[in-house]
Amino acid sequence: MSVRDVKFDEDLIRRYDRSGPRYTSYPTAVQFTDEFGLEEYRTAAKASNEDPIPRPLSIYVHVPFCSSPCFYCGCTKVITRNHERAEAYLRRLYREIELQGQLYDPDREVEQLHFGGGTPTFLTSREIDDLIGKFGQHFKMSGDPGREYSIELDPRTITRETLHDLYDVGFNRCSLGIQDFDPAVQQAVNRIQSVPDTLRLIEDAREFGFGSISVDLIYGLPKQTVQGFARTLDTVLSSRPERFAVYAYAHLPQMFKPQTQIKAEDLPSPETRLKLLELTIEKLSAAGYVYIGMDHFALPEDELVLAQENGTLHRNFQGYSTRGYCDLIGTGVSSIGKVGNSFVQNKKTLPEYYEALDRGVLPVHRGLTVNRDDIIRRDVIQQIMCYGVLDYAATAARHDIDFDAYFADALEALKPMVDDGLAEFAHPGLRVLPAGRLLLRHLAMAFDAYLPSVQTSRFSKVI
Amino acid sequence: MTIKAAHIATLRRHHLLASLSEQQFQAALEGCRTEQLRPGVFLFRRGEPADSFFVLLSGQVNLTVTSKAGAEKIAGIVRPGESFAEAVMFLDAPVYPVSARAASQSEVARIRCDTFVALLRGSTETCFQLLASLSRRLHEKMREIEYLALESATHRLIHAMESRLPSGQPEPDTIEFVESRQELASRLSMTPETLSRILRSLSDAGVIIVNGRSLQIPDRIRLLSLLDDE
Repeated sequence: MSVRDVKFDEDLIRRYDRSGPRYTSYPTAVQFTDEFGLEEYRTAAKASNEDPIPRPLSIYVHVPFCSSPCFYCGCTKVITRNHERAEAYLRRLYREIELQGQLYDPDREVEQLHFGGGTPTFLTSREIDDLIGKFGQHFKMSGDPGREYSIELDPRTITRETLHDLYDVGFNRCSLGIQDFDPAVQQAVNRIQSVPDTLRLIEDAREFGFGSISVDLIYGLPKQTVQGFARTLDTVLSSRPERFAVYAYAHLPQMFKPQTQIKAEDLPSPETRLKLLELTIEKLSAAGYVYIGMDHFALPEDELVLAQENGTLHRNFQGYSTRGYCDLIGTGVSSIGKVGNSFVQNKKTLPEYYEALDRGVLPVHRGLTVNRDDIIRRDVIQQIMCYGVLDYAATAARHDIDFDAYFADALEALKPMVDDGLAEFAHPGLRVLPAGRLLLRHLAMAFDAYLPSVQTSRFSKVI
Repeated sequence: MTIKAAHIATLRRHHLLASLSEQQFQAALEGCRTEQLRPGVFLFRRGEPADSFFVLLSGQVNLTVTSKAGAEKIAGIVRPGESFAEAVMFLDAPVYPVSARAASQSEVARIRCDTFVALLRGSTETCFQLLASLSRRLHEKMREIEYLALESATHRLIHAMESRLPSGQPEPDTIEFVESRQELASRLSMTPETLSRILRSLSDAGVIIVNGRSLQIPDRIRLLSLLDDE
């Protein structure tokens, strides 16, 4: 079903190096509005209970605390070493779980639970255990061994014992932040972590029974060199994690305060960034990893690759998912949920989040109910981002449209990209070519109805 | 008398009004007015004096009964173009036997029983239409009693699916559920959880394909054969 090969074409990538959305959702979060509030969210949740077989649930939990700032980070987080702040947060999170639990019929199973941050393990194992117990009181947690509990780990702070505790409370997936092992880079981004500790953590996770272990790397960080990143890649590859996420660092200090600590002159040149990307693709491909799309690689036997073959892959806020059919409930400060045809985002700062819950109401900040055009375009963008193949006839049939007429503008916008060799117009419609696989979002942007009206500087660079 | 032209056309097509002469139809409209109902509002409650019957023009109305313990059960779901409560016009001291509540924003035409009974005396054809529709409903209720009393939950659900299948043979067959699972489950006297569990097991067995509110039956014979198995 999918197009597999990926070709690094330096000239093309250079020419297409512009800002663009990452399409972890369509419409993107920029379109969320405060016209969507608590009442709209309740309505969406109620409607989601009314299907003959309601969709299963996926829950995201945001733990915003970190004990020190990594300078590249653009996540919603709070830097503190004071553990009492976690207790104050958990009190409100518990209240939110109670309120969310009331919205969903009790027979809807939670198939997927993801802890992200911040640093989820800022919480103690005991607190995490209690938190999962709290979810169990208000939701029906799936008893299926195939259910997915995943957590983001910080190799600098987690011990073998903690990791074992996490497995015991039910986690069976984990991802580790590495970014780069080069000491100069680690110094420049304020994140010092040793190679042996990190590799041991991967071994321990595997020994305890964690599957689909994922590591995060970042290229384009200050002080980064091709030689240094090559060593990092070789070192990580020696432990053969099932998945890699290799992100491009986006330097937007005006939006993300910690990034002001990074000196612009320390950043690698555009040429070096391209070489880092090329190196990553070469090394991971040579080691047998499959490029899924948009920063993500996986071993051929991993379920992400299988889902791409079976046509069951989805793009979501965590990257790619095999469970995109679930309704997603976002809990914790700033979290985003997706229920039926609505998106909902929680209050983005702790004081606002606390204030709403202290009044006993869900901390809905904003959201969006998508319209028919959004649904059609989302389908098209998902096909491009997940499979690199867009099937005109199937899309037309699913949505009862005349594809060529409906997307006349988009098809026109695609022409120069087709001329440049990013994709071809070929059965069953549009097929991404190897040189276009690193430029997926450009192809998707042709179908984005909102793009001309948003400021492109709000999005990171394509590469 | 301000009834929209589109609504007059709907009423004219209704089987209880279709056989009336133009003059009789105009007389029926004299005793008729339309009402808007917001979601959740009761049109009438069980036990209230009944002086009118209704034709639903748009939206959805649920006919419900409430147990002594307070549990509400849906006895019927009315869709646009259908009439309800017409049987009350033949009762002495009529009261409504069920409650009627708007499930969504709805509009009904209220037709006075006394006006209509007077018209019936002048239209034998309409009397026969009314007899036919009341008989059909009686028959349906007998079947429903049989299912509810005698059949397993799975049988009840399969019967409900069967009754909604188009009568021709276009395969694969598709059913669109207009009601929520809570409404459907209440109608079939089971919990929503049981309803979904049965649908899931039928889906796992490949007998049905569920996609949101639409349900596909690739092989009708296979579905019905399940009724013989238990």
